[in-house]
Amino acid sequence: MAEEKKWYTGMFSTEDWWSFWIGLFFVAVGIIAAATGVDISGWVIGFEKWVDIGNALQPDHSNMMSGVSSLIVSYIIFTIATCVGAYFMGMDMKKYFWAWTLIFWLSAIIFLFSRHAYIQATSIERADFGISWSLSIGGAHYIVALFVGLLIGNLAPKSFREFMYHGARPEWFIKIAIVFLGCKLGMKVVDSTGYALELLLVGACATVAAYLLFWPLVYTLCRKGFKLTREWAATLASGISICGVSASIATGGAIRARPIVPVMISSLIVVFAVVELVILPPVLTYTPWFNEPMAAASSLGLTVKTDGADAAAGAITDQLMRTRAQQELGVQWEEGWITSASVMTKIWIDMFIGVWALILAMLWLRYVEKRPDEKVEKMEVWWRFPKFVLGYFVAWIAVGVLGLTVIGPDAMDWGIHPFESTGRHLFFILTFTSIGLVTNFRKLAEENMGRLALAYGLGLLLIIIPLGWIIAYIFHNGMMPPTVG
Amino acid sequence: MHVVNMSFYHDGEQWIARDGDLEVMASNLGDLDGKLREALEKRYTPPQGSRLAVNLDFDYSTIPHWMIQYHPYYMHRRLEFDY
Repeated sequence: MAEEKKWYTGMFSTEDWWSFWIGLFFVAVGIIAAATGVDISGWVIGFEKWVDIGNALQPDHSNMMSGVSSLIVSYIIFTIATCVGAYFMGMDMKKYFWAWTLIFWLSAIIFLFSRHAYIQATSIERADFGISWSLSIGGAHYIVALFVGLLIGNLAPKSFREFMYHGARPEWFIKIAIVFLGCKLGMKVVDSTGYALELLLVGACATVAAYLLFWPLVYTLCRKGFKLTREWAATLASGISICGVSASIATGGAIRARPIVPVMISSLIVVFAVVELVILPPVLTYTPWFNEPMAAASSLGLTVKTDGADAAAGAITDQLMRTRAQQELGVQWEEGWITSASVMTKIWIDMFIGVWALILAMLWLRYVEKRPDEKVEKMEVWWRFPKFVLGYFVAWIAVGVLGLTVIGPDAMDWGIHPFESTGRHLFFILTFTSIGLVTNFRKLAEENMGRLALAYGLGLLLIIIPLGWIIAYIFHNGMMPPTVG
Repeated sequence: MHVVNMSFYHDGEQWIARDGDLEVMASNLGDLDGKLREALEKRYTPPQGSRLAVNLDFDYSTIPHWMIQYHPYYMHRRLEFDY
């Protein structure tokens, strides 16, 4: 017999919950290290810029062990952690392990070689490395990881691609990274600037404005312009306006659509998100948006429609803009704030999806489908709530409160930095490789995709991106990333 | 109130609700609910004036594997039949 759905259903069986558990487990390790002074967190591998490959790998706490040892230890510990999650989620453990292992080492090799000083050193850093020129491409490792993933995901033999899907979990990896990112805002609370709270509030305002404008406009475009049925129009409007695949699944469920509807729309969303991920960061960096870095980053949260691609686009924009600021303005912006702005708006969007699905279900069943026997359960809001967001806020509050009180800022920074910064970068690059692996451009050639793709593309170009830019500018203009020191 | 828990899915053409040996199918959800009401009446013979609730949990394993990481479930329906 099927089991009744409870509030705790899925707590140990969904990727969303396992990003919460794994993310917070490592945050707890960092806090314990900070509180006790025992170095149980410094092993996390960092990839430094280099000209001598002997300096390329460094553990976060550089005296703890060699770089190679740190890489192996990081592989072992993160493998165990994700394999525990994979086991409880009922994955094929053998296939997950080997696919994860390939993705980890492929990402590590890409990270290592893409950090060469000739590729990434800024003009100011060249003298430190003893080189006369460099390409100064901040974030080159992310871009290379994405393209290598795309090459494999689209050109490798089908059996190999399908095997790699077992370990390519971009949403899981990015959600773990986002829990780690919560620590960064916690550290900002410790610095007493109020900046993190301001970012939180303007992100919420921008999100509400976007919800109210995006959805009705795209729905109308789909119904009037493309003559799509309500089932397709509502699901596509949510996918493109709210939080991508998760919104299209939630909306499809709320309006009781046939599963084929969110499945086809989700295929489109994933492909378009990768196109945006490649195009938007350089567009934002090399246009007047450079003068409004936080607004530019926030616009990514409103326009790039999967968590993974949004955070990834934020990370590339972060690298590109900081490199440009250092070279042209002589200013060193703190790493991670541009990424945080892009993630913050997305987190608000994600949190409201349950409320949106509930409202839509009530309206649909009462006024469109008119089915009196069916009841809408308020628990929808909780079931659809993104649980990794809880991890993000718990990490934020725990690091902030403990850093301000019993532990102290310097000790907290020492203990938590391996995950807040170094571990986060590792999970980001795993996300980039995985996004490439799971993005299949062949989906666009499938039957009946043409009209949907056109509706999606036009909705994105004519409504979402222009309005997203305006809303982001209104709420974030004038905000600048904190500078180093 | 008696509560029955069932799973359901869409096979590309029909919605199918299932619980053990009980299986009901229809091309749209309105028809499915009607057939379900009749099938449950036969199985449980609910007394006049009683209410029977049905939790229908969508079988998420029928959604493509790559999508499942984006959202934890598709839909959950609760029907309440008055007899």
